Amino acid sequence: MILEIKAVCKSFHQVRSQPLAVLKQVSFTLDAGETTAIVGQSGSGKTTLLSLIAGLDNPDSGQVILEGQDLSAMKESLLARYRALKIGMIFQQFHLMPHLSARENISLPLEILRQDCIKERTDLLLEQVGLSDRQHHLPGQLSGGECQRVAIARALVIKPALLLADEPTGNLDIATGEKVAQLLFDLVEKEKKSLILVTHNPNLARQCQKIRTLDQGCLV
Amino acid sequence: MKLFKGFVFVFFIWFTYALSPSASVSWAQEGQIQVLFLGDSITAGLGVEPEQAYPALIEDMLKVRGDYSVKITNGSISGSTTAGALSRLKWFLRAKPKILVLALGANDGLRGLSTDEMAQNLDKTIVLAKKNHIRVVLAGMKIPPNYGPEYSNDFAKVFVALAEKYHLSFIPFLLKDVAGKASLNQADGIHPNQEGHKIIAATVFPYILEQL
Amino acid sequence: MLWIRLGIRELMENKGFAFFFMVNLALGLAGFIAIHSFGSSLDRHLDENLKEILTADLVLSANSPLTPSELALADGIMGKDTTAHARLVRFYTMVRTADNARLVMVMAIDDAYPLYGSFLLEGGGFQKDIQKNPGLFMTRDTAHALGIGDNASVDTSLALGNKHFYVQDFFKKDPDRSLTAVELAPKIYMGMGQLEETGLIRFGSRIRYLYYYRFSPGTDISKLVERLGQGFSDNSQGQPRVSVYGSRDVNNRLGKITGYFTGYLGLTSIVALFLAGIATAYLFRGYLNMKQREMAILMSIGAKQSEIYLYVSVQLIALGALASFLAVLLSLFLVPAFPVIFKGLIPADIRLSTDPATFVLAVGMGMVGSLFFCLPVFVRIFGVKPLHLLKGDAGQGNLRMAFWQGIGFLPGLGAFFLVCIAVAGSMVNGSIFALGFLLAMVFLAGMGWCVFSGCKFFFGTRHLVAKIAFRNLYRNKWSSLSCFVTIAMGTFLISIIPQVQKGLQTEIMRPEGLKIPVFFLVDIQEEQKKPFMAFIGQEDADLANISPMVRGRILLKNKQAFYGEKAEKGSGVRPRGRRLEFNFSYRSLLDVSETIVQGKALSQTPWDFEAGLPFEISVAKSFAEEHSLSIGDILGIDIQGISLEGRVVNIRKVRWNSFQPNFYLLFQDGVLNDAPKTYLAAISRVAPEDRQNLKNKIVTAFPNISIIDVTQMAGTLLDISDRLSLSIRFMAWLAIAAGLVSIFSIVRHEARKNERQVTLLKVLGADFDMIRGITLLEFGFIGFTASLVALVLSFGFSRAIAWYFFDSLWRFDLLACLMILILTTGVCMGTALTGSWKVMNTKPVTLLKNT
Repeated sequence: MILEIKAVCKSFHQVRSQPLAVLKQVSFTLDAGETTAIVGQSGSGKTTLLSLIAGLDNPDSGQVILEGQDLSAMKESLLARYRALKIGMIFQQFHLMPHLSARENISLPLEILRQDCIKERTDLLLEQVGLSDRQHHLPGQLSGGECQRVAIARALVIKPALLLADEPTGNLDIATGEKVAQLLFDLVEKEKKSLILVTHNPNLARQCQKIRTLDQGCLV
Repeated sequence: MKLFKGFVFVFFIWFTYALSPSASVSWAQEGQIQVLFLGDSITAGLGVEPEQAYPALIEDMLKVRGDYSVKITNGSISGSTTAGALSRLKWFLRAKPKILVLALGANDGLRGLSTDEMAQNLDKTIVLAKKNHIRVVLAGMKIPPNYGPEYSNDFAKVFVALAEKYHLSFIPFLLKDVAGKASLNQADGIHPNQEGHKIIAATVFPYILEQL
Repeated sequence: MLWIRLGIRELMENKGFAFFFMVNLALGLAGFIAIHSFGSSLDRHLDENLKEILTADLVLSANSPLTPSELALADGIMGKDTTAHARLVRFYTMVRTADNARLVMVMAIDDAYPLYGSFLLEGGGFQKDIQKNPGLFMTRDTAHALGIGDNASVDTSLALGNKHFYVQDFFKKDPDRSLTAVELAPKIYMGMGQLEETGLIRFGSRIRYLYYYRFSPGTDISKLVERLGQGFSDNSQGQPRVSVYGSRDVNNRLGKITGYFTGYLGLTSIVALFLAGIATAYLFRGYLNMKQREMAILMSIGAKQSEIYLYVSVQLIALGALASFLAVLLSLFLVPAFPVIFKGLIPADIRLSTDPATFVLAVGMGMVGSLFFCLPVFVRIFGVKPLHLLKGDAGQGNLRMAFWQGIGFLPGLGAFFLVCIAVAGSMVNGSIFALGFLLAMVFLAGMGWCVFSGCKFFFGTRHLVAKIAFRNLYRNKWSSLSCFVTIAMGTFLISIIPQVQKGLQTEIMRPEGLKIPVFFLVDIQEEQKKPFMAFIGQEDADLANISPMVRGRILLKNKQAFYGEKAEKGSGVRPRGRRLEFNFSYRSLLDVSETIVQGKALSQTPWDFEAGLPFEISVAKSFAEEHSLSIGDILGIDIQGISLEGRVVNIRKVRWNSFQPNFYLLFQDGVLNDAPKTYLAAISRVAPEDRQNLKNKIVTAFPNISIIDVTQMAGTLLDISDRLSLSIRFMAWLAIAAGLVSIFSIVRHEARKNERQVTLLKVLGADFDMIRGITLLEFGFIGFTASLVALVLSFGFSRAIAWYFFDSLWRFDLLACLMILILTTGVCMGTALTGSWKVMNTKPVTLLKNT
């Protein structure tokens, strides 16, 4: 078991009305090498759950335990590094550094985490996502699919224990989306990574080993 | 900086008004009769061209009469008082003047200095001149009425007394017919203009002739 | 209406950012208002001071009463603006007491005198007491000098002319601060009504008649002075007997100094204006760039360009209006608090207020400014396809677009020029400033480009933080550049001020080690010099600068007549300034107030008459300028009938407020030593209570020496110069502070733009140390290089300004430069760090949000 979510609750304050409970007592576990899709309608709390798992936000109550460490209890400054070492994130918006080339975007986390063999590992990832010939292009010069491939490479390059993806194909057309999704699953399988994928695309979800559905803040 | 014109010049323009050895400054040549004017700004011709000052006009008048043997030296200094008269005369003794026109005192009066002191200063100067066989023409001055009747009287008396004491050729009032007349004075109301100097020259001329 | 509503609605939705933006803008504008208010308050303060010195707004003065036609002429020109007038008749006379006679200056005044200022009378009496009665006002010192006791009473009789007077009251302070008249004798005030019976006003009397006028506030006095001067001049064929003074020409030295001061205030206000302009322009453009995406969406759903323009402009104008309102509010509270906050740093009794014009200008800049500043951005955005904008890639512009973008700058540039001209007060000066600043901007942009291009060579480093930081700078060249130019412009502007300030202050400030003179002594005779020095040695006083003075004429300059052509014959009077007679002196050591600015010091070897070589002359700078003399010129000089030749070997600068005997021309030792001369001297360090006594002693021992009491004059001038020097220094600090505030607001905005990157770095695992390192390096580098380049530029620019506007009064102010460099860098780093610290301490959940 790599990840354990224990009775996590999260609500948001709203102006002039009751706090909105987004997650209610959510619990589940994830084994190493397991791929899970979290699906649900818009507003069901998928992204919030993902942000809690990623340590991007704190739960109101409950625990998020990644490889035995309780993320919700960690100080923000420690958390940042721990998260970066353990979790690779893929965003719907790609969130690439616009002024860095594809290659530089991929090697950036390695540099930040002061890892070895940066060149070789970057080369490898570029190769794996098929962008070796476009490695010196800036995100602005790449297509959406290519950008997302850079983002996937960036998430994988640190060899994370857990990969989190937030609607990775959400900003892409169907064909491109499928290609990118294929690449993602191929790499996850090859590298034996655990993956949590948030989507409302059933086709994408189906490619995961497990599908968990969120409905009004509860796993069903 | 014009600013620094300052201190010194602000008041120098006020009462120290100018000296001037007039345009024709050079020492007397052999056979010439040297006439030395020792005066203040009035004689120096402050505010008029050097050749328009009355000593220069007198030289011109002599030349008109065909008299080229007279050399006039204007040793006047604007702002000067009688206190410096003696040492100035000493300086000019080298030029061996024959006649001294002593026209000092106005600044002593304007500054309200002691008339006794002024009398002494002039006295010593006259004595030195006499000792060097210089004939002295003493120019009388009057002080503006605003200084009060007593001071004005004391002041005027100094000149009369000295003239009598040493039997000097005496001009009763250098600025006769000039003082107080706007048309004959410059805008400051105290220094004669070109026309004023002509009148002074006419006033002084007979006394020079007399000495020659 | 729809678009206006939408625009406002959008602002309401983003209250946080709107507020943030507004505060930034308000800070920039508040700095401008503060500087402007302080400047105009100082100007007014100075004016009030000068008016008190003059006791009026305008004075006519003549040596006989003004004729009805002259009065009519004056009334015709001054018209209805006159609100009050007063008269004074001034003359010297000998006042007699029972056993004494002394020279005094009679000041016969009317009821209305003084129009500004007042008497401080010991007995608390009224001024009108002396109009109907033969009473006098004088100081106790004067009474002592006249040998009358301490009691002001009807019994003590003083004769002025034919009339007897008594002492009505003693004054501690009289309103007359006149810096034009020399205080050869103490002042005694009497009522104008009593004058007639003294009999002192007669034909030939030497009297000054003064006519004082006060005008309603806001009247252009200098223009009236000019017109009156012209009027009287025309009336008298160019030889006016009536002099006209405004408070600004109360004293020629002071006039120059106040002229500098006004110029300096103008400079600071133009700097403040540019600062505010740059800050607002930067912020507005930043705002617009952030709205780019939104505008693209609107464009893509079919909104017309004019509608989008309206939509965004409404937001900008609303924000600008709120910001300027906030700034005005801020300064309304802050500016009046200055005297309390900065006690001792600004003149004590200054009233600070902000005039409405400043508010209007600030509000105008805040509101309308946005339209001008943002035009080029609009042009760019409208010129690009919405798709590019959505992709976050504005694309490379083509030639046509560059052209339109250029056009887009024109209205802004036009406004900039107009404002420059308005603030500088003249077409030429305004254009010089505008052009100078434009050039500076181009230069800074060029330098910035080089700096950021140069960053390429840094990011090869193994040091990770440096690598990331420099890579960011290099890759974000254009956005870094705009930040760089803005900060550099700000630093450039504020660092011009201290350099000019230092030069001016050095000029205005009282010289170090200055002994403020109490008496000035004139006409000390050669033979009196030694006894006099011995005499003063016995007294508790310092004798300074006993200087020989010889009067002579300059006849020739380089064998030509000293004045190229003589005044026209028949004009009677030589035009003013065509003096040939000057005072010469010599001294072995220069006074502390003198410095040689060009050439070498005078030789210490006495000049040898026999050698036939010209002697050496040191010329005061002002004199050299006035008569176009330069080093090497040969002057033919006549001293008491002896013609001599001298060569100019140095040009000397003399401090205006040294209060020491100074001379235009100093000769080499040995030239004047034997010439008939008198001496001038200054006496300082005399306790106030001993002054009268010392004066009496000197008069008794050396009756021919005239003593001029300069305490009041020196006091007044030093008081003003102290105020001015305090003010210009404070003004410089204020400008620096305002500049830093502007820089702060710009960096705050920039740091906010940086937040997204920081968040991403954080998610990628950068810890706080690393992010701090990157942020500090990035912003510190921009701040440091920008201010360094700006300082270097301002070094040259301020020099040029000093040369053009301030007679080259310029001093390098190392301290201020270092301070600006450190503070600018510090502000940049600190502000950015605060921004990133905020990011570090919040959850990076924003990355998952869809906007």
